Amino acid sequence: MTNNFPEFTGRVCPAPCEGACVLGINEDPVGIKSIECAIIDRGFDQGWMVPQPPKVRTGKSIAVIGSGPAGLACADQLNKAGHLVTIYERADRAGGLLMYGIPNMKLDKKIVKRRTDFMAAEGIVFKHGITVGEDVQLMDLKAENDAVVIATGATVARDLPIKNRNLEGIHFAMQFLHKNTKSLLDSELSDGEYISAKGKNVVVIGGGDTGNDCIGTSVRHGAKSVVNFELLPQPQTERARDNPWPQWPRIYRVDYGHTEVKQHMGKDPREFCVMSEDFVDDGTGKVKGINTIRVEWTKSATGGWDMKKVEGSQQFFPAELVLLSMGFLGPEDRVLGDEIEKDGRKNVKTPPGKYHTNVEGVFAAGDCRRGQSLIVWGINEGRQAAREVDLYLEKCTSLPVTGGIVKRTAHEILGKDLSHAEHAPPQVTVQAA
Amino acid sequence: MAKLGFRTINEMVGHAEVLRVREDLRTNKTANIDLSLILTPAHKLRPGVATFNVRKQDHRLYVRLDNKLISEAELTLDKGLPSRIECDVVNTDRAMGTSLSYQVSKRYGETGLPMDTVHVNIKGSAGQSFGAFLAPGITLELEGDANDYVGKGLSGGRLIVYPPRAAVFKAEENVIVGNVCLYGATSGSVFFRGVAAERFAVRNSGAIAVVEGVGDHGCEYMTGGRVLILGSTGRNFAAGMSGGIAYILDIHQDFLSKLNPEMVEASGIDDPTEIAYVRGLIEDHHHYTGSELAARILLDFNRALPRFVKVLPVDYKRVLAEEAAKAAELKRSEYQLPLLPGNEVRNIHEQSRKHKNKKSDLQDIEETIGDAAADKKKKSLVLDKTKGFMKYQRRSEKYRNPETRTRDWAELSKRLDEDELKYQAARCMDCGVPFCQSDSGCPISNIIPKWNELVFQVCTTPCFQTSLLRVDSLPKLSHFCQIIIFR
Repeated sequence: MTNNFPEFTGRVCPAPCEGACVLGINEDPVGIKSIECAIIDRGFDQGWMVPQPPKVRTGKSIAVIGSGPAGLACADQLNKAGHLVTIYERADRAGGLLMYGIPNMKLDKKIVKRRTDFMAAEGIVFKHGITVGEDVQLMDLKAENDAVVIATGATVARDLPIKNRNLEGIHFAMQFLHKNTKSLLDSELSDGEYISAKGKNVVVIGGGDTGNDCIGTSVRHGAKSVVNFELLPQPQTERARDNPWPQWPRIYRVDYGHTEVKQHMGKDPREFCVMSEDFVDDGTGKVKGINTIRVEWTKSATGGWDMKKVEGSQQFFPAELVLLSMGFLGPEDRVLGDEIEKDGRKNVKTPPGKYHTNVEGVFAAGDCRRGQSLIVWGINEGRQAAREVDLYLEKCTSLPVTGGIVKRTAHEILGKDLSHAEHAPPQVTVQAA
Repeated sequence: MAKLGFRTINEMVGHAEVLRVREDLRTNKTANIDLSLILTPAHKLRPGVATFNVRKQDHRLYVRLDNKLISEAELTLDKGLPSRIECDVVNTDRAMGTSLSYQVSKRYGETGLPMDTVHVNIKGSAGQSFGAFLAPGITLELEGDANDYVGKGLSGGRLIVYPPRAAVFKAEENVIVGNVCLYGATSGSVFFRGVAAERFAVRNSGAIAVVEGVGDHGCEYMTGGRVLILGSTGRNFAAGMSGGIAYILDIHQDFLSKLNPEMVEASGIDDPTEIAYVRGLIEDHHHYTGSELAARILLDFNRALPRFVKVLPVDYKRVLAEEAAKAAELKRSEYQLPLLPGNEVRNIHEQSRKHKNKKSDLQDIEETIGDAAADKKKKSLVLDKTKGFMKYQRRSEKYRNPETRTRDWAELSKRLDEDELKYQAARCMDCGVPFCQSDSGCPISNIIPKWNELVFQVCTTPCFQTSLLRVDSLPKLSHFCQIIIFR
């Protein structure tokens, strides 16, 4: 009703719902995520999850570019509405970041496969290995289909343009994780088609979830040491005064990768308030380590945070493998070309609260529209974009808005003849059963 | 019997000729056994001898010393007033205090009288089973010594034994009570100023004892209670000991060679409450028996402290730890907020709970057996969803062991089992203001309270449990569940 993929969110969602749980005011919140996951797992285990292709097809066809959470959710919703959906995915397996971004130990790829197979059984067409913008152009898709939804995600990673960035052994986290998962699925890591951290000193720059995934993967490869740089200071262990309930608690957390490093190497991998100054060449074009400096954060007069380098705190960290996981900037230009208008942050521009772009019949959903975010936000975007597409194609829709509520305007219910609709409420909300 | 031609049992005694050996049960081992000698009746060897009870036995209960105690303690037995009795004892006076205990128990039941209501000062050498089954409220103070089985089956009374005041020998080096003291004692306390002989506190399941040395096989098969030994022990100490705690003052540092470590482990005493407890026992011992040894220890207790060895059965230790964890858990769930003692709110809370709180003082390991099954049953039946958030702790998915999980690429979290889910769902209180599905919570507004409610019902409805296994006949609820959640 509300969530197309509880098995994904039940596993890898950071659970803002638990941060907002009323019980969380003075207690540990309810384990909402666990319950969500248990429900869907049972559903699959018990065989209640039976593919149900739509009974009626509208005859309209839609192309969805990208098979991440937003693309999948959008396709799933549109398929339920009876449209014929084709998903274009440039990788060899569907799922986007769910498949290749999140390592297997956090989200088993069998779970992703189970869902995409399920959707295929309901009538969604998956086209793997097709890169829109190279193999096929956006405008061609537009011409072939009644509507196109861009859900490519924000895949341009933030770079670290410091001295010697071009040395061998410095990779983006996504390259590292993608190749690892692909090799794992293809050949259980026996084909050597991945970046190995075995026996290396690994430095992961960026302390987010992706950084943590890099840590966990490096540990599994058998890295010699793992260090994680974070520019910001170490968060407090409890909610700060400016971060009250029900906001997402910004507190110090210990994730799986940190625990594993601590267990195997005796020390939490994280170094806070560290800024990388330059990479060090070992003489053969390979990276040998990183020169760093500590920084200090002070509150400025205007209320913002000012960063100041601490003199004399230079430190050298040895590293044969450097992974950059500093977040993502926005969508790649390849798909969008020049036709699609972009906003100031280089994301696809849509009117506020809407999902259509400047080109008629082309919609955008997910990280490529709102910038990098959570899986649940991707799902939400996909669902709402689907609703807008359905409205655009059919002039009315039974796809729900957020919260599983089907909202219909008087215009839709009463048809185009509005002459005696003046006394009717302008909007009728129907809670779907 | 009728077939054999006997009218009474007495007629039957001695008629070995009607017994037959069943040859069909012969085995290799029993092939050469001849039972005829052992079956020869006594009257064949000595004609006319009595082979069954022909004269009523006379136990001479009317001359028992206990009769004196009972008559002198008449006021106590009738009205519960305290009484003090003086008497002498000789070693033919067996089971002293037991008949008095019978009278006390008959009138006052298991709980008996308040401590020390009947105090008997005895002089002399007591016979066997001195103070056997002594009831609560009776104190026997013996100046002299006692034979075997002192405090057998002790049931709450107190025994104090010390040597004659005029004695010149060193009490702590001489045996004062015989073998097998405190056999099967269940509660009560004993203070012996002197050494006990073999098998001290065998099968003790709850009594507290202080003694200045024991013979071989001390604390054998003990299941509960506390034993404090201020001197050396014999060999094979704590054989088969499964409960209770023994503290030994190991002055000569040779105790570990005498310990039977099969079921127990030895350690020092470091817990402050435990140290205080042991010191308290020694102080009591000094007070009751005037022990010089105890006085010497107390004079410089801190120096003696490192020499104390604590003998604790391994299983008992685990049970105690579990018990303590449970108590801590209970306490924590009682006070969600850090309310300090003395806080107004806490006082009110405490008062309202006072009558409910039962003190759990684990003395006997056997008490812990058999409850687990009942406990589990109780738990699986009722879960309180209204107050679940106050009663149950959050249970989140456990990650696999970080040591081993890095060797594979499989998912690292274990899913919750049915029971844990039930607890978790019961914690959702249906607050009515579900922020979890609001703007600050779930972006897709999952109908979380409803899911929790469903999961709670799914897990607690027994008919649903079975239906989960059979998909073909889904009852209404599961179908509902399917529609709401999966589509």
